[in-house]
Amino acid sequence: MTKFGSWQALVVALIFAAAGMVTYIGTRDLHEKPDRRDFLLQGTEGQAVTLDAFKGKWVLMFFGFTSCPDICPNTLLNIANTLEALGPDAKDVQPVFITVDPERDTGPVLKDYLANFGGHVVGLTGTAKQIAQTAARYQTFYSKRTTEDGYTMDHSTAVELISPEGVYLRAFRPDDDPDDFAKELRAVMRKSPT
Amino acid sequence: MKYLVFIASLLASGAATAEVTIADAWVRETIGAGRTSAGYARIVNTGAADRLVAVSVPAAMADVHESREQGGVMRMLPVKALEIPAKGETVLKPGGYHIMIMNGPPLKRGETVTLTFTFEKAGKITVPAKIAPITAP
Repeated sequence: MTKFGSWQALVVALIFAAAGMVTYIGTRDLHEKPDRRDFLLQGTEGQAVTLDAFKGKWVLMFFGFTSCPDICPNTLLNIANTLEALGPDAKDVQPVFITVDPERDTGPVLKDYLANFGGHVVGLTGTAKQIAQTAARYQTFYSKRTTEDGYTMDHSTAVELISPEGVYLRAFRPDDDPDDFAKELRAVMRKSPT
Repeated sequence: MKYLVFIASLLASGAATAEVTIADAWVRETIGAGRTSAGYARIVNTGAADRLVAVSVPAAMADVHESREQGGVMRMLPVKALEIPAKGETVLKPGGYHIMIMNGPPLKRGETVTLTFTFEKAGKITVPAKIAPITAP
């Protein structure tokens, strides 16, 4: 058995110090650099859409698919009700629905579907790669699962909030009560200099 | 007299079979080329415990599913047999148990569609279900 000498202790101390510094720099970066999560997707008319397209609006972004019979209509309904609860402040909010099923959700399909939810929701699709990149940036998980009758998509259901400057702020649960959701949103919107 | 009531209730419970009724059945409309919908209902059981083992919809595929959140991810999982408790009810509602309807004809709001529920003990029960707007809560 070797003796744990002072030089080994020094090495251990240095490793800890380095790890601490890395952690410190990591956190500092997180606080100082605005959390912008750019993306390139396609609108329902086939046009390119990036995060900058929503400058000046509070974006409520969520991922879903139109062949989702149970959860997605509920989330869309919840967002429509939240906008209603926001009253005049709703004009500064832009809901954005990004499909995780570009195979079935083409621009026209998305447009038809979203028209039923008050016509305020912007639908985005894209290539499988574009959608995968965007979802990864927003920590959204989705996967295709084969069923007896075809396939369905498992997907994260969070509603994400982006500031008018394009900075990612936080995620909400889609089943928050619309009145509570509106209250929380309004509190964030009032705090902002915009 | 008290004794008689006791005997009567014993007899009644011994002879109990599943007494199942279905209330408030509705399905969501489909949009455009969409062929996927969900159906909901309240299954009320005044008798012994039973199990819902199948649901059918004319010209479509239908299965009982459950929307379940696991680690922030929503999955729709098939349910082979849905327990209907004795003298209780099981509710199929948005965000929980529902009937997944796929590959059928378009479902237009305001019309009705026939749902057939098959129970282990109560057998087949057919009810009309209203087709509600996609935005129905």
